[in-house]
Amino acid sequence: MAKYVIAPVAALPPGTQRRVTVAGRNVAIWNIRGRFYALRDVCPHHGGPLSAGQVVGRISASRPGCYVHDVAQPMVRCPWHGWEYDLATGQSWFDPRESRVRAYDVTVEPGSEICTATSRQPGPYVAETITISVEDDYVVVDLARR
Amino acid sequence: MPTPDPRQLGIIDCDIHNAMASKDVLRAYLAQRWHVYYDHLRVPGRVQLGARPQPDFFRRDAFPPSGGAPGSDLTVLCEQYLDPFNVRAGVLSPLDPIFWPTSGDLSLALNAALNDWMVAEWLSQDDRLYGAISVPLEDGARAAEEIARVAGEPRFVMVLLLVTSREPLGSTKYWPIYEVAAAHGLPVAVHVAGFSGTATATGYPTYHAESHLTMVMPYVAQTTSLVYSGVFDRWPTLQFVMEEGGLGWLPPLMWRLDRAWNSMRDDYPHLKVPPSQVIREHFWLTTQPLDEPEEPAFLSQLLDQLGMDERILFASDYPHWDFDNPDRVLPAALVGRERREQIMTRNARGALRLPEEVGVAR
Repeated sequence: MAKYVIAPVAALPPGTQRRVTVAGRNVAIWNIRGRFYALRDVCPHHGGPLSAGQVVGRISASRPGCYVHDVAQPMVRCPWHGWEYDLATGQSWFDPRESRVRAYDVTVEPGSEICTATSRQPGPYVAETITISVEDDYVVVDLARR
Repeated sequence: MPTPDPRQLGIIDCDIHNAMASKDVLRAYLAQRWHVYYDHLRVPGRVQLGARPQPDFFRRDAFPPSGGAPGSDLTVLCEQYLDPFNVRAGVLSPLDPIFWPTSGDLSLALNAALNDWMVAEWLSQDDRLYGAISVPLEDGARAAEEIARVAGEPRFVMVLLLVTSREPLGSTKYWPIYEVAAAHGLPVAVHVAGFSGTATATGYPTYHAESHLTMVMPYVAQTTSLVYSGVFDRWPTLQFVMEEGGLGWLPPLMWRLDRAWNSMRDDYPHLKVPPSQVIREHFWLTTQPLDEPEEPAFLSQLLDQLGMDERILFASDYPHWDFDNPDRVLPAALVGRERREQIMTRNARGALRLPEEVGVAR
């Protein structure tokens, strides 16, 4: 199973940017105005920690002097040599063919669904049950290849 | 016998920049008489070289949590760099003198205080740390006096000069520095920056990318000046380490100098051997920022053209933004395992007076 529960949503509020270790891998996680992003926390250039990088919007220009700074398409600049990657896709802006960093699907799932058993068969024993409930939403990272 | 992995041997890094946490740190090492001068110190004619890619030239992740400049916290240096990359020896070069007067009594006082701070708070604190001696660049007599004062400290392994000097470094005004450096077996390191002249031969650039790339240019002029100055006849053991200029500028310079020498020998009768030979006997280069040609094979060819396999010294330039990661730079697949190992772990022993056990497999 490639999905890993990271933390309750409340623990990663908007503005969060940090490294977590998931199944032995360093993953950088961002919450930008309620939307979550996750990239492998190793810059393809020289291995710098993207989790320590600066988030910038994508800049485009239709002609000199008229530029658009689109914060809805955030990118991260590596703290070392400044290589930039689209947070959603991991695509390098400068060298899209040669350099991209693994991006992971990040979803927010209700705790009640995470805790649901899926493909198991009933066994011969029944243990005493105690009622619990899960109230919060949790952040879940899927490490499977896209 | 398989070539050992540099990580196991421990690497030698010839260019790390430590710093004071704040300007105040120096006061404890500066005589009271100079405090008010230090308080009022302003840098004349400092030029902003374009919008920097990262704040103030530093890696964004190198700012210590305790506050203070990157490179000012020994614990962070150990945790972030010396420990994980198994650095056996790191040579520290503080860059504060770039912003100080370069001659006179105040310059001497500041550089002497800096050297004392280096010994007290760095060189004596960790076995892996070595240092460069800071001096008043444009004041040969005082610079020589300061080198002689501190050269007895075995952890100082080089003298630090800046590549942008008021006169070419071969000029006799700098000879007192070379005399005392040679007497103590200390190489003279020449590092980027300085405000004695313009940053390039053609004035000040606007964009940071321009200034970053044109850092190379003064090295061409300075190397040529030293080759033709006669300093190596006078002090046959004198050595220079060209730091932070990269490697690619030198082979074409050697070809050009040799041709000119060959066809114009009457012009320079005192130079009895080809300039390229002088360079290969008296100059060392540090790797950072390493030339990274688009065609990877060109790097290996560049090293072949240099013909200085034993004189190339690894440098990271930690904590600057253009820091070279020792694990990623100079891949063995491109330059060969043997070359990589000697650049990362062995060559510096020929340039610097390091203890016997540095560079030997543990």
